[in-house]
Parts: sequence; C-alpha cells; structure tokens
Amino acid sequence: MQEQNRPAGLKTRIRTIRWASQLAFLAVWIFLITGTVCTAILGRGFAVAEPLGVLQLILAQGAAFSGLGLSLLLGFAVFVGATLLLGRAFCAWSCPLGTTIDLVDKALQKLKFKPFFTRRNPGKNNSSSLVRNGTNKYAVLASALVGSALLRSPVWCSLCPIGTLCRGAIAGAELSIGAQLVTVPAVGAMSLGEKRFWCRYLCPVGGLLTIVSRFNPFLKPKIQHDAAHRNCGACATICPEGINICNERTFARCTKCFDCYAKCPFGVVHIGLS
Amino acid sequence: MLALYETFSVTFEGSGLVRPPGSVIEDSFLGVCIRCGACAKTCPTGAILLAAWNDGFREIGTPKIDALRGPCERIQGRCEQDAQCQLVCPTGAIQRVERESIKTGSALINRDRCIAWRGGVCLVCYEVCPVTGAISLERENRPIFNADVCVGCGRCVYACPAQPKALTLTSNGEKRPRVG
Repeated sequence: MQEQNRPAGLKTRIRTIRWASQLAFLAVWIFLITGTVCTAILGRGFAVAEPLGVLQLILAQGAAFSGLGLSLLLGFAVFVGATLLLGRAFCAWSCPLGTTIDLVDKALQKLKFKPFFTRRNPGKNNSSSLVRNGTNKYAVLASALVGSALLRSPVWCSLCPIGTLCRGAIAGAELSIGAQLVTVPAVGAMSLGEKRFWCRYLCPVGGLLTIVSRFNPFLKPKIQHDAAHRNCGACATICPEGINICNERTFARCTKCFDCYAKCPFGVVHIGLS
Repeated sequence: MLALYETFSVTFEGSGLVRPPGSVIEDSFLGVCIRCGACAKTCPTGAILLAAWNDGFREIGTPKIDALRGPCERIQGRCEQDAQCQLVCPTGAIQRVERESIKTGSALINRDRCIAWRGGVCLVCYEVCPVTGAISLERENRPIFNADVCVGCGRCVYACPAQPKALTLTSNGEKRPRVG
C-alpha cells in the first residue's frame, strides 16, 4: 500500500517542489549572490559562469581571450559539466527568467486565458510554423556569437532578458535602467501565445544548453511499453518544450520539469535514472 | 579568415564613461566585461552604476562611476586596502592595480555655478580632495583644478553643495591597464 502511495504523492508534489526551487533560486540569483546568473561569484576568484556569456567573450576577444582568466573558464566548465549531468534542468528549476515566465503562465491560467497557439489543433505540434520553430533559438544563438565577434563585445548580454532581469534588480530605482526592464515584460507577453514561448523557441542560452544536453544520459522520461496507451500526444501538450515522448529520441530539449510524469492522463510516464 | 575578421569587425570611439578603478582600456573592456553587475553590487559607496540604453548599445550593463551617487573610495576611504570591484570581477575587466597608479578621470568645474567663483564662501571641494595639488586655491578661495594631478575619485563632485552641481566627473585623462 505504502509502496503504491509514494510515487502518487511525489507526482502531485513535484510541481510544488519545483516552485520552491525556482523561487529559492530567484532569490539567490537576484539578491543573495554577488553577480548575476551570468557569473555567480561564489568565492574569491571563483565564479560559476553562464556558457553563452563566456563564449561571447571568447569570440569578442579573439586570440586575446586568455586574458579572461582561468577561473572564468573553470566556471564555464562547471556549468557545462552540470548540463552534461542534469540536462537543461537549469531552465526549469532555476532560471530566473523561466521562473518569471512560469509565474506569468500561472497567472494566465488562473485568469482562464487560453494561449493563442493552443486554441487550434490542441495537442498538435505545428512545427512548420515560421515563428513556432524549435530551431529559431539556434538562429538567435548563432547571431549572438557572430555579432559578438564582429562588434567585439558580448552583444547578447546587452539584450539578454535574463541578465536584464538580474541587472534591473541591482539598479533599483534608476529610471534609465528600469526602462531596459521592458524586455522582461515583452518576454512575459510571449506567453500569451504559448506557455514558455521564449524558452521553447527563442532563448539562445536554452539553445546552447540543448546542444550540450544532447550528451546527457540521465533523467529521461520513459513510457511503460506494456501500457496500451501510446501516441495519444497528451505529453506534447503538457511538455513546455512540446516533446512527444513516444517519438522523441535524444530528449536534448527536455528541461527535466517532470510535468509529463506528473500530468500524463494515463500515468504511464516514468523518469528513468539513466 | 583573420583578415576577414579584421575587415568586418568594428572599432569604436571611447564611450566617455568613467569606469571603475583598474578597468582595462575601453575597447578591450567592452569585450571582456560580462555585464554581470557584480562590481555594482559590491561597491561599498554605491558609486558604481550599470550603464543603460542612453549610454550606447554596447555599453548596456557595463559599470560606470556615477559620482552623484557616491565617490570612489579606492584612493582614500573604505577601499583603501582592497578595491571590492577589483576583487570581485570574474573576467579581468577590472584588474587589481596598485592604488598609486589609479586615475579614472578628472573633475571638471563650471565656474558659473561654483559658489566661490560667484563670490560666495565655499571650501568644500578643497577640503574633501584626497590628493594634494589637485585643487589649489586662488585669491578669495576660488578653486583651481589641476586635471593632471586629479585622480577622478569624484569626492568633490559628490560633496559639491552648489545647486546644480558646479563639478562633473569626466573620463578625461584616464589611465587604464591593458588586458593580460
């Protein structure tokens, strides 16, 4: 009896646990840590560095990037290593922008607003759409990297809504900086189209993590294959990345939010440890 | 490939922003700074502000010293021992340089606004200045600024009682290290 109850309890609680993690990390990134998500300074001379920022710096500096310092490259390695182990868990469990977007999605849900793109063809992943295309984030990523090399500065950092969110919190009341925060509501407004629209189609950091996450072997959703319910497509609607578990092979896009595990109408989704 | 890069990459004029003490030369600075805002978060006087859209696109999120918010106390004051911004910078955009070699810019006086130059009694900038010779007094205590000696800490700008302020902090004459 207890054995059966335990997974059911975890199923209902997993979103609560994730909310706790997200809000805790939001406080950490914005208020508690020196720096931002871009480089969270943990101790003297050591910072966990967000990989897109570091890549941009390397491209911006060209051959002179060795001046960046070993600790930054170590921090870069830490982030990449964590992604190899945990996939895109950063996106679902700790990204401050992801948390903000989730809060917007939650509010929209409470208001009984149905996002525009989910009104027609529910459950169908219309991947032929120009806007709603998972490869867009690679285009943003490539532009950020090429732009950094050409302008000799990390251009994405100037626009990045994740960084802007954290920097806006530092800047406080300064009006000129507050105006920059407009990128954050803009990203939030994209949720009118689809939940986690930004993360799913546009975020270059997510794109970079997806590339690394391809080599992550752990924590992948699995379907119990003896079950009769297959290819119903419900998981593609539930998943913030639109993954249909039956068809997916690499799960590189999986953000380890475990919504599929919690919400599968037939309860046949399990999370494989490896 | 390298020639292609040299052809298409862009070089810019200096932005004219006053950077934290130890910031590398501007063209490198814009490429090395990761815009994390750690320096602004740790600055004990709150003098470091992050640049915004009105400072230029490439400058967004980079640190600048706004002397109206506070002076840089690297020369004298809370950062005399260790400059927090230099310790915390993860990319080497702000380098750990000797206290004596710092010159972040210089103060500029507008004599039409200065209380002493307009005939009033005021000695504030002269009294707060940590560098001997940067401000000297003419007859009737009118301040004369020597931009070559001034290190650009911004104490005088912060303290100036005139409304609007007679002093502005500029990056004129700044001395900055190279990367590496």
